[in-house]
Amino acid sequence: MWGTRRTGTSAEAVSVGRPDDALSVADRNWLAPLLVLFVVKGILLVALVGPFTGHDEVDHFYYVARLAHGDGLGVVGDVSLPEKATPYQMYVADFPNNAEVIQPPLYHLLLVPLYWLAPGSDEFKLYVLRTVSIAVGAVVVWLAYLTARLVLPGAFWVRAGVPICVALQPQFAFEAAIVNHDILVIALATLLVYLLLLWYRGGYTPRRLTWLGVISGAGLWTKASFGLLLPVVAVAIALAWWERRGRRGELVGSVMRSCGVALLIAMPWFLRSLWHYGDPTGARRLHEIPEYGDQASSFGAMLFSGVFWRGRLEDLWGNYGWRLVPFDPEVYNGVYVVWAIAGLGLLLLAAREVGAKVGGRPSALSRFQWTAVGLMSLWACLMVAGVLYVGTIQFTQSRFAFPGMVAFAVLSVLGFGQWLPRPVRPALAPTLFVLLMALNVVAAIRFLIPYYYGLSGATVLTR
Amino acid sequence: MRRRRVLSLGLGVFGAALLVAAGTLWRIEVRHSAPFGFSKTIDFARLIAVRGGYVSPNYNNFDRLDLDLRAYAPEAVYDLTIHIRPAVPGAADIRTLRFSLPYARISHQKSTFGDPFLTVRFPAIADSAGRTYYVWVEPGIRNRDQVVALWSIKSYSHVRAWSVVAAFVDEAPKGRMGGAVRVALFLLLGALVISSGWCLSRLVAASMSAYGEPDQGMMWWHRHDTDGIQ
Repeated sequence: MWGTRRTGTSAEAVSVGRPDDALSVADRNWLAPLLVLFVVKGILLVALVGPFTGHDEVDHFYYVARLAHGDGLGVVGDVSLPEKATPYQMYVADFPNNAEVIQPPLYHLLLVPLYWLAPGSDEFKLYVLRTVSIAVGAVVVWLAYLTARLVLPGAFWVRAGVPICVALQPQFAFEAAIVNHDILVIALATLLVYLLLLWYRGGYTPRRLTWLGVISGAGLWTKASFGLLLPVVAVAIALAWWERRGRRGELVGSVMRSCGVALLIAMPWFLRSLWHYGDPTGARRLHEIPEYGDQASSFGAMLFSGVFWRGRLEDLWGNYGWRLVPFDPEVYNGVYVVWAIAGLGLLLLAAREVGAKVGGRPSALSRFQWTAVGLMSLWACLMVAGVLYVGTIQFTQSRFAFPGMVAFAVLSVLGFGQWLPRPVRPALAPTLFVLLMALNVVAAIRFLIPYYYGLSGATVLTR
Repeated sequence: MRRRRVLSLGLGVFGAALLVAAGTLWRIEVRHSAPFGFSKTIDFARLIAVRGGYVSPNYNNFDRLDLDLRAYAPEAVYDLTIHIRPAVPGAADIRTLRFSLPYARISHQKSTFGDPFLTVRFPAIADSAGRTYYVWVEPGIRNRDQVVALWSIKSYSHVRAWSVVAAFVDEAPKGRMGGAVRVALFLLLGALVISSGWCLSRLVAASMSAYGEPDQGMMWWHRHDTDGIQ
């Protein structure tokens, strides 16, 4: 099969072997403290963020509780939240209904054993379940490093910059400190794209294709929107097939073995949703919920609305506690200015590449690197398209694009790097670290902690 | 080599010290607790806009208001008086602020990425935590025929960062293990500082090592002409 073809060049041998190991040892020196920092920050966030005040946290927690108590999957509209959830009703989109039972149950099922083991009240159990998100988030940071190392192994500023951006992105850290299936979707999406890129180099063997299908299937059993990753899988397979000049039947077979297997694995859930809600994802049922559907819009209205994009940028960078704790405009604007520098840097990279092509100079990136950057751009674009698609069904948020967090980080770091002369580029990593740590400190002290804590018990939950 | 190690270690320690200073000594403006960051005064459902509303500072030294004011007469200059008084019957103003503004500062047409709020500062109200204040905007005599509405209010206090961190440690959920949880939170804050300094130090060391390497561009072992299986 074309996917199993390997090259026997020395370059190939180098690429899949020793330098990566050598890099790992050197990189462990800073990656270990970064992961420790992420976990410590995560535990503090778990303690800091008021119970059940994460987005959809009430619904997700009681979905887990429902499964743990053997009450079955349930159907939206028939499943009410327990009386104990009433104090948190301002954090429930469709109180007293649990709208999240419309979601596939993999994340919730995985948490059931921990729910059983955790002693005490629902609030204590919630804090225990939140810690799982920290662990999953740490895996995402590690995968971010592996992905960056895979694509640009020789560039320390990328290898370090990407996991730093992911670990210290305020809203990602928040996702990794609450009970919500989004964090598992992010982890599975990141793992899928990492393996997709890793195996692009070595070839997509039948076993590897099946694994891609299994991971995608797990993603679909976590959240139906994971289906947005399937085009990335198909395009990567098609590109590899095209480069190796495979036969047409092999391409179809490979796509079926990966995407087809994924859809097959998820089929029972899709059929169940079709049975209960009239469509495979339950989107129509969500649209019918007034609190959800009333805020739906059209693609055009969203695309050309400055207010819409302002809101999405705010969600992307930091809008904690069910969007009740935003930053102030000057903080957002500061972030946007810095981030715009990365965006312009990407344009600069594109312009340089066009110039190199026209002038007959070598490209800054190899073909594999271009393929990887292209796939990551596709990944990021599909995630943004997902945000817009959700907006046609219900109110939408940028967290629906977070499965592409590593793609955003890689592209951002590449963009920043374009502005720096090569010898200075290694300084980008500590610079990003300092900037993002400063943002986290400002966000915590100016906005997040004062929202939940202050003298005289003036917290939102006790008012 | 030794110089690099000392420098990276020094920067790590400096970073950690800076974090400690930021979390304790830094005098910072904290936004008071309110959903979305502000107290909404406009009632969109009933299409009612008013000129006053309540704020409830949860920190002492209340010294700043951000007012989302909406004016509609482009040619006007607005003389405004802001009254801040405790929200108890018969209370007198505790702070009164007067200023004149061109329409552009409080136009009803807000730019997409602009700050819709007008910031006003005043001498701090020391014991503001836990109290509620009524904030009222009074237009001047030459604006008596012009509409000025107050859509929402944000309030702030200047405090040492430590008072914010301490509020978290004091009020975080504890249950029966209150003392242990408090100790754990302090230890975690310490771990945050140490891991930040450690990470910064290692990143600086790694970036200095990478500084002298032949190629910090993006190419390394990837070839230009490839069969796509690199």
